[in-house]
Amino acid sequence: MSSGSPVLGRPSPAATNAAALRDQGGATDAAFRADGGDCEWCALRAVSIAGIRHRLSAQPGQDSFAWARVGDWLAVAVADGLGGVPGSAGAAWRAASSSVAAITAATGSSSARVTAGLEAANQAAAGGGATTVVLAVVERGGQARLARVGDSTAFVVGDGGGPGQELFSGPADDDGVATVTAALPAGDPQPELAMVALGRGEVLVLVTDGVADPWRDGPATVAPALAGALAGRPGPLELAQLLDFSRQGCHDDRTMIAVWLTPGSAGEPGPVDTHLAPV
Amino acid sequence: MTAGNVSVEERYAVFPFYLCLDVSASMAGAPIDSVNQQLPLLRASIGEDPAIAEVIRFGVVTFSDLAHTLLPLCDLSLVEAVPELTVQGRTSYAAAFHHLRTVIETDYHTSRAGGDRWYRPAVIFISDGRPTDDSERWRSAHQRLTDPSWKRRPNILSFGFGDADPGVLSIVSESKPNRAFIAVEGADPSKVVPELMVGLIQSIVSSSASVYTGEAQLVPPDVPSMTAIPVDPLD
Repeated sequence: MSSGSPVLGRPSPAATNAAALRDQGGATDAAFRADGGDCEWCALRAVSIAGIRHRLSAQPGQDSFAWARVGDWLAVAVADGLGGVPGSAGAAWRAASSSVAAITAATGSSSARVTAGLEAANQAAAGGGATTVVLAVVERGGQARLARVGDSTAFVVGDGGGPGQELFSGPADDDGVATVTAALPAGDPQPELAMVALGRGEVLVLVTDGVADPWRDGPATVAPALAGALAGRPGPLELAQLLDFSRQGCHDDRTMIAVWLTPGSAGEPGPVDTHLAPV
Repeated sequence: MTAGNVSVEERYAVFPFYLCLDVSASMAGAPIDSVNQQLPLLRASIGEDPAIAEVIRFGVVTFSDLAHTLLPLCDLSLVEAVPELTVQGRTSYAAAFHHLRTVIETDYHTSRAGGDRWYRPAVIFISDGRPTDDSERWRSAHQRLTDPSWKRRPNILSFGFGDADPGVLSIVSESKPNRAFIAVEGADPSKVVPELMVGLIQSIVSSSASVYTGEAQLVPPDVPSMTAIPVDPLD
């Protein structure tokens, strides 16, 4: 995969090493995971890539994602297990999958579903480890409600391929790099909330900090490359290869879920079709 | 929509390490010889591993009566050799702290102009003696270096052997737990220093590995012949 991946900014020499064949591999610890598909009112792509350090040591990544479509709305979640806490890969998996399952089972408004998803993520994360999470409920008309705990985040990218607009506050620009993040489980999670109405051609993108940090730090390289590609609605494998970009010092796991509305589909009812795909 | 700003300049995160080494006359012999033998090994271990070298920036500052920059902050993969250390003079902690404050500030602006974004710098402070300048002078310099209002203030790991004072080293590391270390009683400096240098390499490797996870942290070295200086709890 890495041999065809782009260099965005200064290249990472370590990325070349990470492209070497690992000593072993299996279905559950695959370094590259890609999923997605199109329906009558939306399209979804989900990609998760183990970071360079994990690949160099033949370890699986600690990010996770899950999604479910239920008729006229879509639930998506991305989680980032904290590397410094044992068991965090499992915490991320449980948080992402449980939150989407809870959103699917909940009744009421999108806001209520988001609340249910966060509560479920927090309970699921309590089984060991620690994780961030960002989740969203997207309605057929383009209304989206989001919540997050920690430094995973969301962007909206226009069809012009501009740098995108971050829906949550970015890290404080205090001339340094933030190294502490909120995480689940938490007694009082204090989620940040956001909402957006997706316009024609816009893409909602949920990402872990392995994508968000270089996106913010690469306004002339990473941001336009990702935004430009998203404007063209790439296939899952294309997006995975792009997300495996080489950039100096960017070695974290990278996970992204992107959601597009199908032109002309707003407000049109769709069939009931549930699919849950935790990774 | 609550929006965060996307920056307008390219930035690459780096983790600066400064080795601040006592080269006063008392370091003559086995201690300084050990450092001179181990620094090339450190350069090779860090500089030849691209996964580490990408994010670590390393510099060497020495101090005796005065302080100097022996190796300017750099990417060790681009360094062919580390200059040899020589000993002279007394042990001015004030000179070391003044110099570090100036160097870190200057390096930050140079690095930032080149597109780097810093994790909080780390200082590895190594001494075999007590400060020979008066207490008020070195404490004042130390306060400037660790001033909470100075954004570039470093995290300081301090290591002492020989005549080093555990209480002073604890202050150097701001009385933070597991940041100040002293050689166990009777430890031979010719054994302590090589262990310390090996531990420093491991510390940098482990710290750089933490960067990859997005949760960078300064990992203290594991030095068998040294022990952490206890930090007294406040009432």
